[in-house]
Amino acid sequence: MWLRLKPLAMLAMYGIMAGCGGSSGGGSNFYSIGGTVSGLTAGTLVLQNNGTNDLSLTSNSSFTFNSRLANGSTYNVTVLSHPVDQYCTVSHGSGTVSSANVVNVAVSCMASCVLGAGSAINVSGKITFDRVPHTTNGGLDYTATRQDPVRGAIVEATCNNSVVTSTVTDGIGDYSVTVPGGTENLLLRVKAQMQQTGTASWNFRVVDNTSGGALYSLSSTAFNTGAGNLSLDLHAASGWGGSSYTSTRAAAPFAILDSVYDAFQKVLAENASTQFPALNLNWSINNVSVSGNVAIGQISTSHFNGTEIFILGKANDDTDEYDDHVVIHEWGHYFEHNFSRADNIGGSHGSGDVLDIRVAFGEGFGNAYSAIVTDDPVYADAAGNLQTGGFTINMEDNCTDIGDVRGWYSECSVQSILYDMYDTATEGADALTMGFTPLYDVLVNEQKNTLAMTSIFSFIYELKQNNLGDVTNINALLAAQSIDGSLLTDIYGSGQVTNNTISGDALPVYKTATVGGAAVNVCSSSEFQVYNGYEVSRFIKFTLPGTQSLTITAVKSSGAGNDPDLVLYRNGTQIAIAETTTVNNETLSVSNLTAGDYVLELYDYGNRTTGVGSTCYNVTL
Amino acid sequence: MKKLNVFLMSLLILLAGCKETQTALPAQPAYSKPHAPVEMTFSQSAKASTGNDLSVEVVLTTTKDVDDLEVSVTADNNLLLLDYPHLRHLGAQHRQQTQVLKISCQPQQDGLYYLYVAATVVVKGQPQTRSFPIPVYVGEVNASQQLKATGVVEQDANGEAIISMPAQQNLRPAK
Repeated sequence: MWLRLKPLAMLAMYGIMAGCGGSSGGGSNFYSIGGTVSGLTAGTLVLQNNGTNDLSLTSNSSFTFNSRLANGSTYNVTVLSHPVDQYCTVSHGSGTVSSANVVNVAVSCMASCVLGAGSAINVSGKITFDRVPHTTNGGLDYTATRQDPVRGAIVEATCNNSVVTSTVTDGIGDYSVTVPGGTENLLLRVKAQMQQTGTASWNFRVVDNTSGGALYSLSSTAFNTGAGNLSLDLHAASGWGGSSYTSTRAAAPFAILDSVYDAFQKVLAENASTQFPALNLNWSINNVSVSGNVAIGQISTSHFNGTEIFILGKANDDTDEYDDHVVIHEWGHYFEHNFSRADNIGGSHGSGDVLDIRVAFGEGFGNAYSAIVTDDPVYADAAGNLQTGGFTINMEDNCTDIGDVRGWYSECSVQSILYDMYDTATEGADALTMGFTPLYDVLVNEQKNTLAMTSIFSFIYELKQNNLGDVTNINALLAAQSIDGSLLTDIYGSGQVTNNTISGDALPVYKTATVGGAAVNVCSSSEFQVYNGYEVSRFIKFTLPGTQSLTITAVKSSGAGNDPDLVLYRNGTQIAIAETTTVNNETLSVSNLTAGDYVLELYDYGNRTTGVGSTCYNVTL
Repeated sequence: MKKLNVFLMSLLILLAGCKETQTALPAQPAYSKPHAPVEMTFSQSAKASTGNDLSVEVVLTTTKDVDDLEVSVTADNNLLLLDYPHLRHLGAQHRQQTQVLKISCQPQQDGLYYLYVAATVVVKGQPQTRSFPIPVYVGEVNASQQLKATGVVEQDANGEAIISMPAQQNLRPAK
């Protein structure tokens, strides 16, 4: 028995060893770890891999650790001891072995920093970055590049990678630090990060999703401090060489940070004690508008995924670092997600689309917020070869562009209404100059707790309740966007009528059902677009008089689809979901539901994916 | 479970770059930016290999009535474009009208490269451009090794990874 098992046992042991990540060995499944050293002038540099396997180097050359690692093992090259009078740093020093020798570990040595013993001196200056504006068609105009201040960013004076002192740039990019006089080889580093702790708190970081989430920073060259104060200005250049990017695109992370600065300052102005959840904004020159592996930049498009923001950056495809409205649009989703409520189901969208009411509001708000923060109604998004193409959305054009689609299902209408309520300009149907405060108040209070799905209806109803003196003017804005404000008497949009876009079977927006009552017939349709088009999801509201268990059934009555799904909500929170593949019907059973108002969502799964056309179901409670 | 199946289906389709034919449906990111009213799918004739011509069929669909559709194609270095007028006017399009275009290219080296199809629609004189990169996986691909860096990745004293980008600087005695 032992002889028969032995080969298997050995094979198992081999497999276990191969997965342990620190073992050395030969054979075809083991790979070497190595790289190059530069800047070493004298003495001995000692490297380690994974805290062991010491390797001593005395000259600039390529190197290879003598222990090989199994495929799939992790490696981490670090400096055990620096050469005399030098300080060495490691880049590309960690990762996972992936069926190839690792040859790109780079060790760079420089003269070591020596803190002086002299009297403290002051180093101060201004930190700036290149901001590239847009042409009238939305492309980038590199010839009009200007220098803008880096505001609110962390500045550190470092000595051999240790922070000596740090500060934060002010609202015009100025900074000042005190360091020992007589210091040799000091570095000044500006992080693409804004952070504050305390009553008001935030931590916004611009990181590289294709470099393991490393934080971007701008670095000076090493300098000496003497006995006198110094002035040191640092500038992050765009990297544009006239006809292409030819050098480090150092400005990009700071352009993104700058857009976020404006975005969160707008909220702080409403509540000086706001505590913003930490947020990473991922940007890379490799970020391309293809879906796939985020670690190599295939991020699909600029987006907020509920936790982080991803921003496109690949030249000649679509770069968004200078598209401040795009960055702030995504930050607006972050704000809605954390401080208001976003029932938005996401998905592809644009002006002229006829959208799910939740999507229309969420995306319209994002567009409007970008214009509100910048006080610029023109949203510009550069794209294409040399970033010369793109498109613009003008919040003030009242949706006369693509398709003239107006209504509660139009993100264009939502952005137009919100911006017109905010801005100081009055024209046509816009007689309002409300500013941001009334809008903010509804977003973080009533909209956050609405019993309905978040939409223009839930928002406007509460806004009108809070601003009774502006009701007539609000209704005028709504009417210009094919929404009958005089009939907007609840959060559900009851009373809205058909128009050029919406036909009879799409109304009312919410049907009403009663427990034990007659079946309610609703139809899911992909007439406008799949997944998030208007009518893909249909809504039914009902009230429970007391705590009880409930069984909801949907049975097909007509149409080509055959896969209904049901989702039950209370105050926007998903209580239960039934999404089986049972043909032509679905049942949702929930126990111990408390008394109150609920919203049921029904959709045909086929209309969420490929589009199966109008399919109707009888829903009973 | 249904959501996982759709995700897995999308992921499998999108990762099928190594197969001889592929048609990519756009995935559904969480909350994205708006885009121009045009969509694209594509398929390629065979697995791409260095030195051999590759044909990619592109299908563009306008989702609204537009007055004009203009298409341009560019490519990364190491993808040589063949026999394609790099700018093409396709005229007015109706909602859901499709245009099929064939792009020929020849990879010059193994690796991951992109064709860039820029579609510009014009409505009431206003152009709107949307870029559609098409990934072309040529031969043996180690995409992570091809990544371009924006600076030197180092570790600070706390072990946090930091990318150091060089600044333009002006150092002088303070006044």
